[in-house]
Amino acid sequence: MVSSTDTISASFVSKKSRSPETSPHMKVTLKVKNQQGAEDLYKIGTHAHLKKLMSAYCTKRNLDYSSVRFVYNGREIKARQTPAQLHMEEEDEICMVMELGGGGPYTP
Amino acid sequence: MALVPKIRNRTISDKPVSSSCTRTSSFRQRLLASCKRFLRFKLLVRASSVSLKKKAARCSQSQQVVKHNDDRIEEHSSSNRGFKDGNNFLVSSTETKKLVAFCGEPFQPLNEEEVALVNSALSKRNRKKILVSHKNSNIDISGETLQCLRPNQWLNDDVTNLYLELLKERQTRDPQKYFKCHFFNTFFYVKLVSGSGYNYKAVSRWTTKRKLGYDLIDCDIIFVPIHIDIHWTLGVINNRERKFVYLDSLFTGVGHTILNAMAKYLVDEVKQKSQKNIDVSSWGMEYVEERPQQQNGYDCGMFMLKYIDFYSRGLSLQFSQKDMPYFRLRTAKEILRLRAD
Repeated sequence: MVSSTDTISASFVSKKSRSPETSPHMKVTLKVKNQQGAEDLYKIGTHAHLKKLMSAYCTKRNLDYSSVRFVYNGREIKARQTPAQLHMEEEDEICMVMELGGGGPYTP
Repeated sequence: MALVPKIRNRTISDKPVSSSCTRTSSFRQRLLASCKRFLRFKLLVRASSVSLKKKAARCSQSQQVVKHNDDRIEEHSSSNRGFKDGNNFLVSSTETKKLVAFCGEPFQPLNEEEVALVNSALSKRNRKKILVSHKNSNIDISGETLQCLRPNQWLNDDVTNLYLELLKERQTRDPQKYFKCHFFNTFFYVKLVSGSGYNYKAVSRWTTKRKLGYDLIDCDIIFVPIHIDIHWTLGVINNRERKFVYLDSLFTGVGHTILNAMAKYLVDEVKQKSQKNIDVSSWGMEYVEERPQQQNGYDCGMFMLKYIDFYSRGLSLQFSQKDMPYFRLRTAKEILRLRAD
């Protein structure tokens, strides 16, 4: 299930992540996939903080931001990282994983 | 006969009490309760450190060195639990002394300074504070997150992942002491089998040689933390002994599914990264029954971390439920210091 693409404006731009080969106005389309396989597409500036994408996803899916994890290539994404810093390319996939915790369903 | 008026014994509740007084007394009660809790926690720490000193001494005594015909020395532990054949490894005589001394390391008692550090980090005033940030893994641990290492709490994925990163760094720091291991994070298995079942493509980019600096097949042991509903278990791909191992501190009966997924993953991984076909049909599939088991509904995460810690050291699983309060403290200390010992 793929939703229509959401475009996220890059009002918060990381100066640190700017590299000569990518202009600050370039955008990249990213897929966010949950544990059930449902996909959402987001268009985001290559130098915009990924927090914008993550909070937009949580709002759309009615999720608590603090209880979800966004993982790209095996690493958890942090709010102030940008697609450029993570070398994200068009149609790259971000995995959304619910916070994991447990102690064991013990029955004596 | 004069009537004597009945004098009722006056109780505290009969006193005219101002609202500020009630506030003070309830505050005093809360303060006393929290002090009691703190003292109980301190006593628990002291008791566990005393028992651990004894355990460390016992552990070093239990190591017997047996001379073999081919002039190699094999380490035998008094209780060979763990992998079926005891998970002993052959070492040269120069390394023997180091290994005997090394046995006490998993039970090194915390000193007073370390206990104070942990107590301070677990206090309420640090709840909102970021206590440690680990650059390589991008993990921040706040006081709130660290609360999961208090007694009776469920282990959280951030703490688990950071601890696994610290084990990775420990191995890099001292490669002679530990097996060459790869530690997957808690998200790996979730992605490998999420949604429509087994999906190698979802994790194929997680283990490129450029990213890791080594091939997965070159590792002695690969650890796969597994999260099922509300339970932590462990999958192990043991390249040294050519077997897939599943460890569960409770018996949840899902071992075969996980073992098959790990076998399939290894075949796909080697095929994609090394363009080789490996046959794992001859490899063993083992559900470890002789293992330390939890006796409650909250320690499975800690058991999983300690299975990893002990196996990566090449030790058999010489711990039990009663060691868990100490392991929680020790893990908190190691996370706060960003260094696994």
